[in-house]
Amino acid sequence: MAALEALRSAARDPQPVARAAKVSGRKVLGYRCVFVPEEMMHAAGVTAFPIFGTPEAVSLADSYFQPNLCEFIRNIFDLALKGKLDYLDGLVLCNTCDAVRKLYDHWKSYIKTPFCHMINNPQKQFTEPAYEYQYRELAEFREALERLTGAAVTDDALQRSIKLHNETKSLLRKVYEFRKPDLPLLSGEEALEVVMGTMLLPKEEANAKLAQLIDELGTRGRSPLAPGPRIMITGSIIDNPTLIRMVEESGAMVVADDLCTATRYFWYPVKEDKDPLAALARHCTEKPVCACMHPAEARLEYMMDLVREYRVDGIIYFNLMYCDPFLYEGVLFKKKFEERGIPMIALETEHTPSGLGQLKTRVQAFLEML
Amino acid sequence: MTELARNTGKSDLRTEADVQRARKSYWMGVREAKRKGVPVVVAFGLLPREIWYAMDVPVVGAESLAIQVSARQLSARYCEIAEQRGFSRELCAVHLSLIGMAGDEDRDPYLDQVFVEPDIIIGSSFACMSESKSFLYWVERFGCPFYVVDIPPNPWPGGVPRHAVEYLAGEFRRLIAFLETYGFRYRESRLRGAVQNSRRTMELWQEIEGYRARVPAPISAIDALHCIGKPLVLSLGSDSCLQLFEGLRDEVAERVRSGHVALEDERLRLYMVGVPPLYRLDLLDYPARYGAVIVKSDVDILGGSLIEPRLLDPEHPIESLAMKQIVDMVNPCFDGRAESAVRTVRDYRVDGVIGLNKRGCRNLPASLRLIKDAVYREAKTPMTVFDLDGIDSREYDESQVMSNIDSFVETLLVAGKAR
Repeated sequence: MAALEALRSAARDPQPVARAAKVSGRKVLGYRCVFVPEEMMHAAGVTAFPIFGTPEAVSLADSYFQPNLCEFIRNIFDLALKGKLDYLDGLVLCNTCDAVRKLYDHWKSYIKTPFCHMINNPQKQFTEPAYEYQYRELAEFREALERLTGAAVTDDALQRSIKLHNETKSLLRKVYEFRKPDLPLLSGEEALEVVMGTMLLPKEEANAKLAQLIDELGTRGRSPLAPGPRIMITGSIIDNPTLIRMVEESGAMVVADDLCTATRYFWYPVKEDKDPLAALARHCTEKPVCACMHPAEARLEYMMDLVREYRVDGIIYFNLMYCDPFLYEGVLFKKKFEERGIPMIALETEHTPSGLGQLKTRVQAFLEML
Repeated sequence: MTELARNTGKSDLRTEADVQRARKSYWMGVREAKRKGVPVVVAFGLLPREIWYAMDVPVVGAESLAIQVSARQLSARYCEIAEQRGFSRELCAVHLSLIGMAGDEDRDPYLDQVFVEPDIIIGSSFACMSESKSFLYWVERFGCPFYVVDIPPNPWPGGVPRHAVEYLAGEFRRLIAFLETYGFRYRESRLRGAVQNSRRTMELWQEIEGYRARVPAPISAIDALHCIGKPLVLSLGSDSCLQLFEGLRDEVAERVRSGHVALEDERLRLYMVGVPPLYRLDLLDYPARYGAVIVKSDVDILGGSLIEPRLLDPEHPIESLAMKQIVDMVNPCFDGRAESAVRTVRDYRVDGVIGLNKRGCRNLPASLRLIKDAVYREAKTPMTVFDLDGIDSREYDESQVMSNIDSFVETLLVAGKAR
């Protein structure tokens, strides 16, 4: 399982990937979240580096942000203040939640990388005006990248990038097929790290590893999991496998997920179009994967598709404390899923894994109920 | 938690009585509309009231309801109801209490008197996630149609790009079309009139602020809450709001002419950033014991911020309203928020700034450090920040709050800031 280990290893230690890019002379742009088109950065010849948090406790950032702001964002800002993201030439964010917008404000004022851009995407999806607005925002982003690199981002380059990244998405979908059998051949913990590793690595390299992984999983033969209820994990960002491992150690098989670091990243390919900017704009305004967006019903239906496809018995909704969009939707979605016969438990967690004992007790009680 | 006394934060301006009458009349109008079968809208309070006015839409501003309930020290009850329904205590108390109000099966007599069940709900992506997401519960509870107005934040220090204004103007046009399907009639001429009223209101507001900046201050932050914040929240763009501002301008001008001041022997001037405890407004008068007056507070902008009047062009009413909304300093945008704080400190000759960190709010509290650094860097003015939830009285510890104010004001006095 060499490919599996390589991808998991990249996920566990992201910094060498960024530093390697830096050494090669390419500019490195950190970004958050799944609405930032990494295809555009790739086409511009810069390294798109997804910023994840670390389990490290927040210290310096607490004098900039109140403690009741998303700990994941405080963690990222803390890393930046401590110089641990010093390989970044800039940051790209998009208009999702309140905490991300505040990260943008603070980054501009206190970190001061040469580049800081916010794609001001619409929060309403599936409308033509939203698509047109997104198109303009992406055009501005393209221009900003051109100013940064001094080179044009051509349609041809963008089309090639879209194709490459679609290949990544397609390969990840194939990897996820191995979660569908009665006894999955890929655990939830492994799946999370495979996707995170893929997000971090240059896509040419990641695609080769994913193709190899598919071969490896095809001959794995034995499930890494003991039989148990089929669980889908959803909620705010999870960028550390601790919680998923805890669920699997409690007797569940985590067979599906709806996370920024997993399915949300690759579920929807970009429809390849003559106008690549149009394709990206359409993609951003038609993937209903985030609780920040409207309408909520579209996200519910996308999640129900996952439930059906992966034959999910129950849902665990991990909510990062202070993550408002997921906190609101969690309560309402619980009711909606239960009306459809899918039990769900919502648990509030901190980004720095803590209080795992209590969480485990609640997860075990939920699994017993299933 | 300290036991709460009756809220005594009253204004002694004559205009306040007019504001009370206008508010009463507005709420009675909403109830009367409901009785007659006109659909009642519950909406995010900072959407353009000019549109409601132009279309005769009876609107309950959601935040107004939360503020009223908080002022009667009832928020805790409704927050608890929301928590019992599974919502996190870490959410904004404005929205928790709104969820609680919607979910309450046995409303207290006050709420029962003012609550009107919605027929339509309108949320927005403006300011924070709660302004659209909390309404999902209302939609579920009352089975109403739901419309979300998507408002771009303002990360453009070099000026708002045309495509953003066009997108938001389109959103307002689609909102109007949506309301028309429920029988409301749109008349462009009436909207032009409303925008003209708003422009004139902004001019009057500017004049009033000119008087407020004088030393000593002619009116206090409590006066501003009652006579500026409330009319703007309720009915900006209406004839009634404009008349109230004319009356207020005249009254404040008269106070300046006659030498009437908010506080005799004013020694220190303070600026309060964040929502003060609406259930305990008399706290705004607390610093008076040191000769300190809160000359400016964010209660002014409960109904939106003061913008340059010429941005409101009656010939292009919808585009004007779009621009007004994007440049509002409540819209997530550090540059405008911090710059505005620096301007306030300079214009009002502020000696110290008090920043309130409201639990559950992810917008303003996350800008307090930026504001603090900006006012110190640009105006050499100190700022203190402490926790105070202006809506949920469960979080209020009066002795702690007073102690924070005491130590800050004493520090200013020791530093020789007193006049």
